[in-house]
Amino acid sequence: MEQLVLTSFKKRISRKKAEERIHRHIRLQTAEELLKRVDTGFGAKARAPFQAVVEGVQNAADAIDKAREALLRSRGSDDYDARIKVAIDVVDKSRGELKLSILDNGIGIPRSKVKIIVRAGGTGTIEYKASRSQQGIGWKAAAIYANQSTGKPIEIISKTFSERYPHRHVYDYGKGKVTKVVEERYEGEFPEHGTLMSLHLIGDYSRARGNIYEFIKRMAAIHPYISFTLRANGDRIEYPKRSSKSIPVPSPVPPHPNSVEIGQLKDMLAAQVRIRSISLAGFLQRSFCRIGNKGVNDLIERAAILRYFDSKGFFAGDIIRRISQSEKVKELKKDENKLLKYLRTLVRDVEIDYAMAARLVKKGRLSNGANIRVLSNKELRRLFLVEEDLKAPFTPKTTVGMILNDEEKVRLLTEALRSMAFPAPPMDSLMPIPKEVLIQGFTSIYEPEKHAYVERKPTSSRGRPVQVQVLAMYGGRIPGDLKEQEKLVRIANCTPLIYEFGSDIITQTARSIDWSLYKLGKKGSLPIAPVIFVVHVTSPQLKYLGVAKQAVGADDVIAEEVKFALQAVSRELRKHVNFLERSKASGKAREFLERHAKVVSSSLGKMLEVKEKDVFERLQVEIRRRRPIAEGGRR
Amino acid sequence: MAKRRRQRRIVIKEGMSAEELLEVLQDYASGILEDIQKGRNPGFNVPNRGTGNFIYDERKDVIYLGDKKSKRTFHNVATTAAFTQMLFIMSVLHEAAERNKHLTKREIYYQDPELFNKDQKTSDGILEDIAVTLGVTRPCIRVVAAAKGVCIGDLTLRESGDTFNCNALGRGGWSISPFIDEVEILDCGAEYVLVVEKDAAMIRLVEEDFHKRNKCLLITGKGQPDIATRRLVRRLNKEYGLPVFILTDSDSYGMQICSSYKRGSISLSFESSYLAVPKARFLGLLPSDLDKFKIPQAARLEMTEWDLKKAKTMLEYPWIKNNKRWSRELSLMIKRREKAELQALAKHGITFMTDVYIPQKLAAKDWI
Repeated sequence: MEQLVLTSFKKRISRKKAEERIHRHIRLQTAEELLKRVDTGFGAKARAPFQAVVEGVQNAADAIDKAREALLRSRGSDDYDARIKVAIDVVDKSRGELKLSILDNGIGIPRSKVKIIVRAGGTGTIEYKASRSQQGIGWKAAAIYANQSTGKPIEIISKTFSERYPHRHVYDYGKGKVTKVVEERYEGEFPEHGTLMSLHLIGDYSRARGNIYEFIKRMAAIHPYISFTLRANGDRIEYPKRSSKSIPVPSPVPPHPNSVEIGQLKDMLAAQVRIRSISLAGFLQRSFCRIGNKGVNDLIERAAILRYFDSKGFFAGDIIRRISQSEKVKELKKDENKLLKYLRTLVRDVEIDYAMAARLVKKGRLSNGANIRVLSNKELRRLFLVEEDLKAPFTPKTTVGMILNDEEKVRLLTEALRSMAFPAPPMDSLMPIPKEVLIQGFTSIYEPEKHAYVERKPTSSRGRPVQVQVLAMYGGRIPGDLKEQEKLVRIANCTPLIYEFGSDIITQTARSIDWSLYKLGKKGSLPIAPVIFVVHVTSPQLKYLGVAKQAVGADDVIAEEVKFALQAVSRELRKHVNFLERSKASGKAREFLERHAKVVSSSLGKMLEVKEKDVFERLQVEIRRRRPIAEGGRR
Repeated sequence: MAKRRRQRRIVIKEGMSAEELLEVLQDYASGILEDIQKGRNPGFNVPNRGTGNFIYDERKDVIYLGDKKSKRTFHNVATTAAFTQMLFIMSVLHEAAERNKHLTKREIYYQDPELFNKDQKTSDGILEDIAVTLGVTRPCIRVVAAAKGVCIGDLTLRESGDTFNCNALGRGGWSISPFIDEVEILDCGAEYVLVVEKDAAMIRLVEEDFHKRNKCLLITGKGQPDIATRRLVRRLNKEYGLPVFILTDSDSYGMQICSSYKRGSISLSFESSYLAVPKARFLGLLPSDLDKFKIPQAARLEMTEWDLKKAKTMLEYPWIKNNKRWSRELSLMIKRREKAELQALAKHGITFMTDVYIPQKLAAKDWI
């Protein structure tokens, strides 16, 4: 077969030269170059203006939270007149050139740090706490896109509380590098502290408009303590500050032991060793939340037990899960003999204390998919008939360095950390939206007849706490013909997500629920009923799909939490749906009963010295009490 | 057949004055009113009148009402209508009792046909429910049903001031009064009562002057007897000790009629103690008589499916199952699949029944 040869390859060169050419592109790559190659959300003209607004407003809201933190630390109160102003002006209609400026009165950027922020690969927080912008590349992506589409530089004006005057910076992102054009004192009017960022970009404003408005509207709903102003192309929308109830200022919290992964632990150990190789006990207590003295000892015993299981060649965790996930075991829960017999056939690979297993099942501890964490060391020993004294693989005094040098020890430590019960991670590093804020913010927009709110306890995934809040709204002014996107409002770390609806784990989880169980719809799609779910996921270093941060990435723990929360609010809604159904029937029954009540009261009136009207009214009261119906409900 | 359960029979009161009725009705109404005023669910405890709630008293050979009751309350939509209908009819009865009047079932229905779903069966049923709930017979609640029965014979009666003898009313006899309990029996020259199922047989007996020649009273209920007719037969039996003989066709329907004179019926079991005549005898036409009196094949009829089904059901009733002679006759009928009317006897001559059949049967005590 004849080979297809490109013309440029026809010219013969030496092997050495050929290899050099192939290796030529391997060199340090700047963040700017990288950002040009990944999808940052600026790909489509209809989306670019929206994406730029999202990035800018997120930064602004974070800056306000930082200002609040500073206020809280210095003054003890975080309440102040926080403002975010977004301005979009069409500069050149024919080319679609827009000028976007976002002004906040947040913490401000110190003059000396501006050059780092504009140049560095990522400016996101490296602390373990939740924040809206966490990669720190969003605005840079916007700046690169702005430069590529219009060739114009970006402008930053900023002032911190302690700086005496605002400073103005102009940076050019052209020619593959970041060039400072201007750095000067700014003479114009400026807030006491805050930042103004502006850039020029090409975009289809008329098509982006809807999503921008929706984003600001939802932002305002979640942040009643910030006043938002959107001035775009002559229109002006203002969401004034409605309350001083704010999202708690998150503080950094070390990772939770349950969800640490082996690579992550190695990194942490190595980082510690680089500073100083301390004892294991010290390391554990310092590097993880929720581990105390007792925790360290329990952990070491757990590691010993796990090593024993390994030596015997079976997986205790699997066996426990086998029992707790079995439908048959659940069925036989009440019949002790049958349960015992079944457990013997279920667990044949190793002898266990079947009677104890049966007792644990009966108590509900080995059910509903419970895992090895539910059992204490003592229980674990008894269940798996471990009688001998076990030698621990390490002691509290073993140094971190010794552990890091022994793969086996690292593995055992990881497994022990993951297989023990620790208290739930503290919420300090999270930024849950206060219940009243979420409810008030959304019910005032959608005016449902019924809402239900559920807040899951914080749990952890990959060492980070995760918390899910769900608000469900039903009926009222919610129209019956909403699009799927409108039925599910996704919020991640206090930022509403608009794009990439279908690929979000929240959407996928919602679609997997059988809504018919809650009388809201069917399986495989979002509910059909007039219902809106607001789902908020907060977690430090939340994993998004892509740099544009418009969808939460796949994560089993988040998926499960979202599912449980959606199910819980749906159960509440189902009560309401049932009530509506009953109320429909009650309405008919009332009519029927009242018709008969007239005959009853006239009959009694004929036989006894009693006023027909009085009897009827008394009966009517009782009929209405026994058959309640929805007042003013609209369906 | 309903599962047998040890149960007590409901005792029904037989007589009641208008004042007593008023008092009882007012008691019930006050109870209902109190429930309403206290926000409770007013209701009636109504004894079931269905097939599942009767007691057969073997010793007395009578069917009585059992003590199973069901609650009819206002706030239960399944019973709202029945409750309301009961209370409504009670108020109508109350009004009639105040004026010392009787009402017919039809009159009660027309008080508010809409309330009874435009069906008189509904109001008729409710009336019986009221009677049984109050624990009285229907005449006690002052409701009368049109009576269709006829009585001929030497019986002197007085009703609302008129005194008359049932032999002096021509061949049509005395139309039994619906107010039978208010009729006084002054004198009786008859020695026994002959109850005839149907008018046709009655006409034959009257034309032959059977009642005069044999010193008996002839009574017919013209098919399924009404309450007044049954009540008269019972009074004659109880008050004058007259033996009662019953003549019906030889078919399952005839036997059923005979049985209801004798023992009462399931649907009116609550009135058995006031209507049943346990000592009544089934004289004929017995299935065994067909051969005994050589009824020609041409005069016999084949039983229909309905007849057979009815007969087989009856055979399972305890009062027939446990009665050898009754079950033997019924079994014979089922085995032969033959029935015959009284008129079949006329094959032997039109006076055969009066001249031969009845005297011969009575003389031979050939009854069951």
